[in-house]
Amino acid sequence: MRADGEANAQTDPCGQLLIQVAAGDRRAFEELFATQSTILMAVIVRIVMSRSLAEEVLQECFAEVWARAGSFDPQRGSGRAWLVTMARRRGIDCVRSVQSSRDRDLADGLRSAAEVGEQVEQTVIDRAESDRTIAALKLLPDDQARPIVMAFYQGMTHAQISETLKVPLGTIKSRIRDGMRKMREELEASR
Amino acid sequence: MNADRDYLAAGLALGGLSDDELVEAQALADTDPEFQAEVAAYGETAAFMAASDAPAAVSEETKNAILSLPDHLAQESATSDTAAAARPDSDAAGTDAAPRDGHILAEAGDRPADTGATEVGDRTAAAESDSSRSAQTDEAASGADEPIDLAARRRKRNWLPWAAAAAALIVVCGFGISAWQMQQRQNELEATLAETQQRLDETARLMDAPDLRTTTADLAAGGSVTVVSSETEQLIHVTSRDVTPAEGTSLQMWVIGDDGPKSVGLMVGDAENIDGSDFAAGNLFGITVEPEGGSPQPTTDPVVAVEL
Repeated sequence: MRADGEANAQTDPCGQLLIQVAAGDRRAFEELFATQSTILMAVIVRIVMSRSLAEEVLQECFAEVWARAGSFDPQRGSGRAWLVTMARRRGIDCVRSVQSSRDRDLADGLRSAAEVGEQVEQTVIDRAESDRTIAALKLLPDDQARPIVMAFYQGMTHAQISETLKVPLGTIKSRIRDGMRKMREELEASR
Repeated sequence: MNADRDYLAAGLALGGLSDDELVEAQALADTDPEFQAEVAAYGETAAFMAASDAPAAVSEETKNAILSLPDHLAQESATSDTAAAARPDSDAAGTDAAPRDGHILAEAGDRPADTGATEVGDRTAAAESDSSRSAQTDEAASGADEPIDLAARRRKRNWLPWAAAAAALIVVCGFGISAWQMQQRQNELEATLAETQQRLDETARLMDAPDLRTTTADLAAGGSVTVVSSETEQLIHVTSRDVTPAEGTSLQMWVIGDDGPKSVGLMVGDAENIDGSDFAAGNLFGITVEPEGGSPQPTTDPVVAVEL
């Protein structure tokens, strides 16, 4: 991050591209897609658990990138963080919207609600199995990684995580804090 | 930084704080630049974690849709956004007041504006965005409302792209709709169309089919199409809303199986029943814009494609 409104090309290539996109640079937009789309797709898929839904959410994300790259402020964080945050937000909104829609159908007590639900998921990924591909989490013991994943990818509150895992809330909070601290140290050491 | 502040900073960046903690953390971020820097650092950590995942492939169709966004999507100026940013964002820093849309099928004019960012994905934020919807005149849409450039797309096609799409399970599909909504649409149709008794019987058989599938898809040119099908009954029921083909064109319907696309007729009314066309689960149903009267094979990309 720099204080002068510019992003450093070496340390924040995404940020630099976002600034160029905000100026209408289409080539920068295409490069951003080329370099970031697959990782954003991974984030979104992990949240929405459906490839077809994820494709839609990804489109919405890049629409926001093109339309609102101007709102990226390099002083406040990296371009990568801006993108990931936005993708997560849209993914979680999507899940909540689908869930409300299903809940309405179930409330209506309709026979076909089950069939309606099935249409939404084209690909179901086994959650526990696949979390192991998140490399950064290998730094952490399972009991720290698990609540972090639940908070980030499933949008659960720490209280909900505590209830689900049947672990006291205070313990969950410490584990999240310690796990995040550990990953942060790793990140900062590698720079 | 003491343990509590550390937790609040990490929690603000990651997500999941309680309402009270959220208020406390945001107040700190507003008043304490050191805390704000901690939040930003944890935001980078969360992004670092997310980005350490195995990359996931993006379909060709989505890629093309995204790369063509600059053709028709306006950019918002930076000044209006920075003016609106009131507080440092908990969302891993770097995000200003971003619009929240509570529903990914929302139309362009229907997206909520939400200044004053709150914790990403937090249920409070979701509730706020649901309850404080205001029309955005210029909001980024995914291009769903833009007309197709027919001239650019009208070129000889074979059905291989469709097979590739089927292999990648790519459809322009929305969510299934409830049987109640289907019933409502059915009622509308009965009021406006002179349907034969046979047609009514077919539809009833469809509704009772154990393997009923339903999908609604929005057309880029406006309007939507609902496809209801049953493999056991070998029936497809297609209804459209607000879909009007351009002058000199017809909307033609196709079933694409292993042998390629087979025409199942033109859409001439608001609803069509298709029976007697063999189709299997996994086949694609598509609609293309063709010259008036139809074509023996599709000559354009489908405006709608759903899996049967």
